[in-house]
Amino acid sequence: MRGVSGTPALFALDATPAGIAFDGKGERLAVGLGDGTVRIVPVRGPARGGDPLTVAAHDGAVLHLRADGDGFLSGGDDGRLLRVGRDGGAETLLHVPGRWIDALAVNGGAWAAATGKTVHGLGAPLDHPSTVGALAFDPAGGRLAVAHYGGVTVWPVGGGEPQRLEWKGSHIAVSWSPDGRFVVAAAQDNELHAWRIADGTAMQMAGYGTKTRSLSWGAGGKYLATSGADGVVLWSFAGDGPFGKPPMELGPERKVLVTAVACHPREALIAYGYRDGQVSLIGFDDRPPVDLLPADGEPVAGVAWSADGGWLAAAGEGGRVALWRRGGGLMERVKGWLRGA
Amino acid sequence: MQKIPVTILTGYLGAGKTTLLNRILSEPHGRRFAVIVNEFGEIGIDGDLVVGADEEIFETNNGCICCTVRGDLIRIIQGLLKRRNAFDGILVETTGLADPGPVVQTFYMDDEIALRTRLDSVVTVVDAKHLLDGFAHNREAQEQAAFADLILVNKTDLVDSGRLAEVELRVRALNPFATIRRTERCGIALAEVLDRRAFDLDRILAEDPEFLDDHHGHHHEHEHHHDDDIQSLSLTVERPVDAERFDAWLRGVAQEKGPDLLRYKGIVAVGGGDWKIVVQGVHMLIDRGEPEPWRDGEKPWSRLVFIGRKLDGAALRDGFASCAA
Repeated sequence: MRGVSGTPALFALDATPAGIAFDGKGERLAVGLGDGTVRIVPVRGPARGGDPLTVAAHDGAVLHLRADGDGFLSGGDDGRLLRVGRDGGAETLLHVPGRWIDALAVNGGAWAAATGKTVHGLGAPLDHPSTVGALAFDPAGGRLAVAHYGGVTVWPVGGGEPQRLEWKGSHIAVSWSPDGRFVVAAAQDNELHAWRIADGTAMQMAGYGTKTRSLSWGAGGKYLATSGADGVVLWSFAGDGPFGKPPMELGPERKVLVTAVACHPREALIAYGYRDGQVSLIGFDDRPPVDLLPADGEPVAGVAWSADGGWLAAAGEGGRVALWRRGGGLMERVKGWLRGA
Repeated sequence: MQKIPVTILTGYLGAGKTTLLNRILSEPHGRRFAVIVNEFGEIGIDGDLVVGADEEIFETNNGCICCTVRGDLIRIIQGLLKRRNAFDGILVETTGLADPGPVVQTFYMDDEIALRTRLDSVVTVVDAKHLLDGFAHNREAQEQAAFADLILVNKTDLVDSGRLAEVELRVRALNPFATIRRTERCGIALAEVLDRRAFDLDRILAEDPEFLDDHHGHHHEHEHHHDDDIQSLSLTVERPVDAERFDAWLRGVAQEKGPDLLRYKGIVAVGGGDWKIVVQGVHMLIDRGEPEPWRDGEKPWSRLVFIGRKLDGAALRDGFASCAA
């Protein structure tokens, strides 16, 4: 379908992926793992075909991984936030001994990280009434949304009074619409809440089978794709947002919960993974999905497109990582990477 | 996916649960544990992977007022599961003042955790010397004993046999289905503590002949009161029940009295007496098995035990009796 090859390069890692991301140029793919390492695979550009790097980043597990320019930020359960450069060099940005990096957000060189109830990275530490579940900068980088029990607090990055977006319950994921008009948070109680920032109006988006952990904006920000149901649940944010409009349910026929979603950066395409390990691709319409990777019994932990949409990667909890190039055939296997190779 | 067993260790301040924890960690059993502790740093813990927790109790938003969970445990266990190759089991040590209810419910209410872990049992350490006083003054001390699958009556060397018998009676009155063991310095074979599968319906059926046959030696309804806030109620109907009526009645009881019901277990005869079903519950959460045939020598009676507060014995007895087929 539309150029994604059915035959991926497959890697079997001997640890559980916590995060997967391409760098900003799409030259490298990084996977943060439960054994504390960040593995970096050169995908294209001058380093293509070179050896993958294994960076011993944390004394413990990687909990969060994000792309940051041509490198990556990695937050671990050793209380460290690291910047891992393209050469594998690691620099400590934050160290809070005895705590975990519970949440992490990156935007244009700025970062914010939470340990417990405290958010670091925006000048003086910011405290919240309960443990921080997730963080997100708005696309312009001027505001930081902090999800916690009871709602979301929106801090101006330059300082000042926060805006409080309230909803009962524990919030575990948060995202801004690309136009900065809406904040959407996922709750422990298998539902989402959207707030219109201009007036604070809130809306409940329910009907999920499990927690939504993965949120991805597509089609220039007009749609929000979400995990947590059988198939991808797609909400329209065109015009006034999802208020009063039911979502589209894409590909619910398998009756298996979706655990990760990623909208293509430009086209109307969503790559997504199921709790049983299958990875599929679907459009924003009624056409049936294309199955890219068969189930292996391990939930898909993450799906990511490169920024230009030329590459797609997926990671499963069992350590299986798949990489596809659009328009290409099988990417050459990276030697020494396959377990037992 | 193989589920990781979780054992909850609870006990009032000073009863000895950290001693038990260190015993579990230090014996040569070849297993690796991830340990979630409160009161971090108070006494040294010998384990490799020890995580401190801040007790954060969340109400869930589903209209069930007693369906509280431990948000901190959800977050920590999700994190630990990223290192799932590094350990074989999880031990959760609660604070001395913790209510075990939200801890237990976390393993049922959170879908992702229920997928990857299996609550094995609640082990409660009580102090033989101070238990009677503790029960008199602390709601938490009673709750911890009421929730237990295994109760270690610890520090037996500090009391005489009369006192010990009194303590055991009191514990038994509060919790008719827990296994009770006497210990000094929590000395107990780990095989008795781990792999109990106390929340496994098949195990309740297979391993609880005492529970079914009524180990008190008198096999009719009885209530235990004392001055305790928490009490237990054992009900017996010496005939089969109508499965549909029983289900509806028990759901109604859980819905209405859920906040006051701590735990309950039952084995009831259905299908004219040829079959039995097992049920267990925590507050409003009911877990019910599929019908299976009785084994040889078993009495096809219907029996139900409630542990809770403000139990209306007459209403529960009448309600259960009215389920008789």
